[in-house]
Amino acid sequence: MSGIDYLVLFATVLAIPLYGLWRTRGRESLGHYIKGDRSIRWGTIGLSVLATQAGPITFLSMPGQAYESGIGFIQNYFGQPLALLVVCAVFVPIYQKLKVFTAYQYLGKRFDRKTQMLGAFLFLIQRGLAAGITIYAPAIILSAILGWQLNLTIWLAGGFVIIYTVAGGTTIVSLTQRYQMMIILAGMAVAFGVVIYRLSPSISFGHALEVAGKLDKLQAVDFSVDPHKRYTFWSGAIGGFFLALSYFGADQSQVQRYLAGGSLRSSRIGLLFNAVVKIPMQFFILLLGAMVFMFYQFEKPPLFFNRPAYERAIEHGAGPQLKDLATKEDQLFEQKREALRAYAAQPSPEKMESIRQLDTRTQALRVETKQVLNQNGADPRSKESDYVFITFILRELPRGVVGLLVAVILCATMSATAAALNALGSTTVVDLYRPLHPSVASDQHYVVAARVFTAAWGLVAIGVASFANLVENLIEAGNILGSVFYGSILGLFLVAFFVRRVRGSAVFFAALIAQALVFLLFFTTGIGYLWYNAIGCGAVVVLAPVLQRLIFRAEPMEAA
Amino acid sequence: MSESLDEELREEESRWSRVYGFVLGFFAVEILLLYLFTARFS
Repeated sequence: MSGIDYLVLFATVLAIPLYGLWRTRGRESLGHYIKGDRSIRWGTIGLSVLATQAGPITFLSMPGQAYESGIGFIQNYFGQPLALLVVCAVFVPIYQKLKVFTAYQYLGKRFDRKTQMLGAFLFLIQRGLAAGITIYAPAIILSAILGWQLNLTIWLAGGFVIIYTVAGGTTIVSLTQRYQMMIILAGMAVAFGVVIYRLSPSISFGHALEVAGKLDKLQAVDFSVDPHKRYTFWSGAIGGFFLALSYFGADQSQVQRYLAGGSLRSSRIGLLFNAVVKIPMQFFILLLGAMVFMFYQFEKPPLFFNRPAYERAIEHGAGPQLKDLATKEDQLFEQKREALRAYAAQPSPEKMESIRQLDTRTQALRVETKQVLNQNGADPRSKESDYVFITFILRELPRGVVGLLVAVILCATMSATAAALNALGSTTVVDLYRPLHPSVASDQHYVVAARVFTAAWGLVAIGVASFANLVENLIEAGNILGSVFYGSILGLFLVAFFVRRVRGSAVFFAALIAQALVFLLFFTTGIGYLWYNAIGCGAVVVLAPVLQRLIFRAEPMEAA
Repeated sequence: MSESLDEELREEESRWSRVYGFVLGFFAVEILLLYLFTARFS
C-alpha cells in the first residue's frame, strides 16, 4: 500500500468514531446509554441494522466465495425478508410497548428471572465468541497479505472500538454505523465499477455474464430438494427464515439497534428497509466476486491467492514442484484466454465446451497446488477464497482506492464489533448484574457498570481473537455459531408470544433440553447448520407445553 | 375514549399491513428476477 492509501485508510477509519465521540459527549442515564436518544431515526436504524449484520466477512470473503463456487450463497438470505416482517408485526410492538432495554427483559416479565437469565446467558456465550471471530477474521487476512503483525492488527481494530463504544453507548454505535455503512457501500460500488472497467477491453459486461453463467458462477436460485446440497432455495427460505427470525427477534446486538430512539415507527421502517435492500445488496457483492473471476480469466491470477502459505511451502523445499505447476497453469491460462477471446468475437457451443474443459483442468491444478502446500507443512489454514478479493484490491485497484477498500473492511469490523460489545455490556448489566444487585438504586451506578462490562467483553473478544485457531471457513463460522444457539433462544420467545398457558419452569427446562439436543446433533451428525435453528426452536415449542402439562402443572404465573 | 383509541390503533395496524404487503410483493419480485437471471445465464 502506498502513502496515499494509508492516508485514506487512517483518515476514514479514525474520522468517523472521533466525530461520533464529539457528537455524543456528556453524561447519560442508563436508558440513554442503552437505547440512545430520539435523534436516532429510521435511516440511521436501517443502516445500523445492515452494518451490524454485514460485518467484515461479508465484504472480504463473500466475493471470494462467488469466485470459487458461484453466487448460490444468495439463497441463504431468502428467509430474511419474511422473518423481518414477523419481527415488525410481532416482536417490535411488544418490546416497544413494554419499554424493555433488552430482549431478555421481556422473558423476565413474561416468565420468570431464571428464564430471563438463561436467554441472556445463551446470548452472551454465542455473541462473545462471535465478536472474537468478527475481529479475528479480517485481522488474519490483512496481517498475512499486508505484512502487519497479527496481534497488533487485532488490538488496533478491537482496542479502538472498545474506547468509543464504552464512551458513547448506543448513540455512538448507531451514529458511527450510519457513516461506516455509507463508506462501505461507496467502496464496494467503486470496486464493482473498476472490475467492469478493467474487463471492458477484453469482453463486454453482457458477454462476461454469459461466460460466467456457462462456468457455473451465476446460479442464483436452485430448487433442488437434495439435502446434501448446501445452498438451495428451500434451505435458504426455511432454515434461513428461522436463523433470521432468531437473529433479528432475539439477538440483543440487533434488538438494541432497532429499539434505539424508542419510536415504533422508526424501528419498523428501519427493519423493512433491510427487508427490501438485503437481497439486492448481497447479490451485487456476489456478482462482484463472479466478475473478479471473469477478470482473472484475462489477467493472470496467482497460482495460489494465499501468498504467505505459498511462500512458506517454497521455504520448505516445494519450490521445484510449485514451479512445475505454475508452468502448467501458465500454459492453461494462455489457452483459456485465447479460447475466451475467440468466444467473445464469435460465440459457439463448441468454443464454450472447450473453455469449460480448460476451466476444469485449471481447477484440478489448483487442488493439486493445495495438496503440495499441505504436504510441505505450509497448511494454508484458512480458505483460499478468503484471499481472492483482498488480492484483487491490492494488485488491481488504483492508489487511494486501495486505502478506501481496506478502510471498508476495517469499518465493517468496527461497526459489527461495536454493536456486539454494546449489546454484551447492556445485557450483562440489565439481565444479570441488576437483578442480582437490586439494592443499588443509582442510575449512574448502572451506567458505570455498563461501561465496565462493555470494556470487559471487548477484552474477551480480543482474547478469543488472539487465541483462536484458524477457522476453516470464515464466512460461515459466525452463522454456524449462531445456528447452534439461536434455535433455543427463539423457542423461548415463540412460546412467550404464542403459547399463553406455558410458564417459566416448563419453558426453562424445555430450552435446556433443546440446547443439549442441538449440541448432540452438532457433534454427532453432519446435517446442514441452518437446520439447527429450526430443530432447537421446534424442540422448545413442542417440549414446553408437554413439560407444563406433565410436570409443572401446579406452578403459578410469576414475573421478575 | 377507549373505543376511539382502539379504532385508531386498528387503523394504524391496517396501514402497516398494507406496507407489509408491499414489502412481501417486492420480495416476490426479487425472487422472480433472480430466477429469470439464473434461467438466462446458467
